[in-house]
Amino acid sequence: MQRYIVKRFLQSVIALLALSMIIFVLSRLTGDPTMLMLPDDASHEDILQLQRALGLDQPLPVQYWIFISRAVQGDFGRSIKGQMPVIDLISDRLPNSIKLGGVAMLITVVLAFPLGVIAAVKKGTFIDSLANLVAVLGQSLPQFWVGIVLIQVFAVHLRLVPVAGTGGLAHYILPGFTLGWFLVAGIMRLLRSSMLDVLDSEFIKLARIKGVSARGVIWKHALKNALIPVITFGAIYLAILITGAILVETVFAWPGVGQLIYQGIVYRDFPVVQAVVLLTAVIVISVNLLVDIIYAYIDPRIRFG
Amino acid sequence: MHSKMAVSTGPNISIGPKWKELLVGSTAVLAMLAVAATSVVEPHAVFAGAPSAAQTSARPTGDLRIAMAGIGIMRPIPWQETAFGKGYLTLLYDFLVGANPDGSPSTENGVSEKWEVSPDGKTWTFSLRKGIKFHDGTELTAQDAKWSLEMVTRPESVAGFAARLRGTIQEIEVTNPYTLVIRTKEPSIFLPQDLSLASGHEGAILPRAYYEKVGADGFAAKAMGSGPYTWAKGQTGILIQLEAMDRHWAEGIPKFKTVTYRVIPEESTRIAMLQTGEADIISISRERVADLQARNFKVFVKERGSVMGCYLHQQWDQVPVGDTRVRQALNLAINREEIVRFIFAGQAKLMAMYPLGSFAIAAGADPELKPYPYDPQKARQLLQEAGYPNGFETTIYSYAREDVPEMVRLVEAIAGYLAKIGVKLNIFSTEYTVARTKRMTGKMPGHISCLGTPNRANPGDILTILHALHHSSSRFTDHKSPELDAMIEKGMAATSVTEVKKIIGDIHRWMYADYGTMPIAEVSIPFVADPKKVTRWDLGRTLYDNNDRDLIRR
Repeated sequence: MQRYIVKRFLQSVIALLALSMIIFVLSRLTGDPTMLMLPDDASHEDILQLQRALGLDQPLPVQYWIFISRAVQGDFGRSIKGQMPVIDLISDRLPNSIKLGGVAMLITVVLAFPLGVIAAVKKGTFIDSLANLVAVLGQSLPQFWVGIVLIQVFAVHLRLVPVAGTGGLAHYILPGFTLGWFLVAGIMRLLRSSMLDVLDSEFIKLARIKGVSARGVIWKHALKNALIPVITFGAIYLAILITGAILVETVFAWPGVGQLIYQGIVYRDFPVVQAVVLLTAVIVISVNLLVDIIYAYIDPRIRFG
Repeated sequence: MHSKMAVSTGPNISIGPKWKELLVGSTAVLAMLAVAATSVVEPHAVFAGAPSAAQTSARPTGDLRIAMAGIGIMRPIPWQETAFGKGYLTLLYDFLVGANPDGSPSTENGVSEKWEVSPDGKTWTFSLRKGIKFHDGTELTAQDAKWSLEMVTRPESVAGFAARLRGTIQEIEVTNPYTLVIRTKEPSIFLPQDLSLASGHEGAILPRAYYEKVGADGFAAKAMGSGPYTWAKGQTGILIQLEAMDRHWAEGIPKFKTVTYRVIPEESTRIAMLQTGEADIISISRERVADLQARNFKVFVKERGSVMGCYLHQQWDQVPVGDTRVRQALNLAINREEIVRFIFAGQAKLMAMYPLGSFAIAAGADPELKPYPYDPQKARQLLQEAGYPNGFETTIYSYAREDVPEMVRLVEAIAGYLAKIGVKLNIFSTEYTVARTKRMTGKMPGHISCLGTPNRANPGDILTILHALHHSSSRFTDHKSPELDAMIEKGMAATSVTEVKKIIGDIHRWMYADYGTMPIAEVSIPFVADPKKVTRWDLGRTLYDNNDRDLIRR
């Protein structure tokens, strides 16, 4: 088991290193931030001087070494646009993203679990079709549009919630729902198919024969066993929600990491882009690693396979 | 204004020993923690209560909330902030020279109460007011002014006119605490204008001692100046909140206790915020003005605030637009009246030449020049004469710009007009960054791109933009004409306003006859406000800001 964990950990580190190189090179292929920062009448000398000040005049391998050697110590450099430590920018935004992602996940769970279970139990009925419709809409309607419609209905006309920004509990409702609805579809459908498999299994039949109530069979025995793939999917998606909710954060002016990376990309703010992508990768890879370890712990075929 | 909301702890989650339940529990707990962590409502949040409308004459009250599509870098240090952040800086700092709303220098609201120039036009002496205090109570002196100017003109400064000032200023001397002497390399008759509230933000004066004590990051976290407002809080890319001083030496008692600038990129969100009272003033696209006006919101417009034009790049290369007849044809093929009506929703006026708009008439531009007519037939004929009877093909760039939300449609319209005379424009949809980089690195041979720039009334500013856009030595130029270069250089070296005005008139006529750019229109810059909160606002003619100081005057 220990050997398996070490192996998976090393694989994760290699994946992170490879990703750091890819994002480092890709972010530099799209343009030079000094072209954007300096005024129109700046001379060639001015540009060179700024490039020197930002360390952009160094060869790429040197720049990469400076970046990665500092990154492992938690120093992601200074934002080219914001001219402040990137870590400060991220620590300013990350809590907002975690909170919004958490609320979105909560909304997802509240909606997707009952829908998925009922759709499986009532397979082929009107309820199943309705649940599927909710799921399909969540995945097919653009989040951008959903957000604007929700604002118009619930904030402007009904005045039930605020339009944008952070603040109290009410500020989470619209962006949380907009973000969560998209996820409902995936989780609900995964849960439905997983439930259908489990409901057809021998131990469920045995439970029924033993006289366990229908509710007990579904919600206690079947659901527990159907959750494995759902939780894996949800955990990984939570990581993506935290750092990748660009559209929702834009519509609701939510000060999260999504907006930060968007602004970073537009402004060619390499340090910000690198740091946020690496952060996302660390979260996703950590969740993957954790899930793999847990799988290996409960299923010996994986660790010895 | 400060209030708290009840914390919802939610249902108890039972965490079982099995890993599945553990993961379920972790997710839910994370969400619960997230909700619980949001229990405190920030000051000025929407449900914290609207500011009282009852203003007393004795003290500033309420919060003025301004929602904009973008606000510069939001770093309150002039040398680390672009021109697009000037608005909030004008509330935070005093400038070496004040300005009138029409954009002319003023002795009334700047730090200098008077200034004079030596006979050779190369030594400017500014007499500073005594008794102006920074927000910590220390006095603003010529030493602070000298240091601020030196900082803002350093090579790494991103301030809009830093390069120009660096090229102009030779040395700065403090002869006594209230006298600042600036020596220039060449006669520079517009220096006071360049350092005024009406130009960029290079004239802002910061407290040297405080800055050096707390460092750049410390200063950015708690900026301090001598303006009518002091820094309350800021989050890069999100918001800036300023808090009123009890009294400002020039502006008196500010009207609002706080002014909050928020970046709200999505226009429909800004409109919704105005409708629900979460914002008092919003920036708006021209096409939405009529709709919001009909809904009884108050519309404030910086009339003809920006000039829109399209560049014909790298005319010196072997490209069709290197031929004057081709450039004339392209100009005659565009129906500008239709563009004004349908693209800019009537919120624009025709103009004769870009980048010299109607404001430039005050600086010597020729008022007799008329907009190019719409004459596609003559355009086709000119193309034939130039050797392009079947037209030609080139690229036009399309990118989103906060200041020109109509850009994509404008580019499509231009492509449509030019298609009618046989010129096929391949629309290259990209980001502005990509197009700008291509432009600055000379990778746009014969291509077309469109931009807006402030309508300028000041001769110095006009010569600067002409130099940046059209002088051979500029990385941004589309021309390489010795004749035009000579006129721009002559204007910059002129020693009298009369001479400069005459030269600007000559340049205006020369460019008009050269068809070097495609002027589109002078567009208005609209804002919409809650009429209960904002009853009057003169947006003025200053560069890069909207006379924000007028908003806080009683």
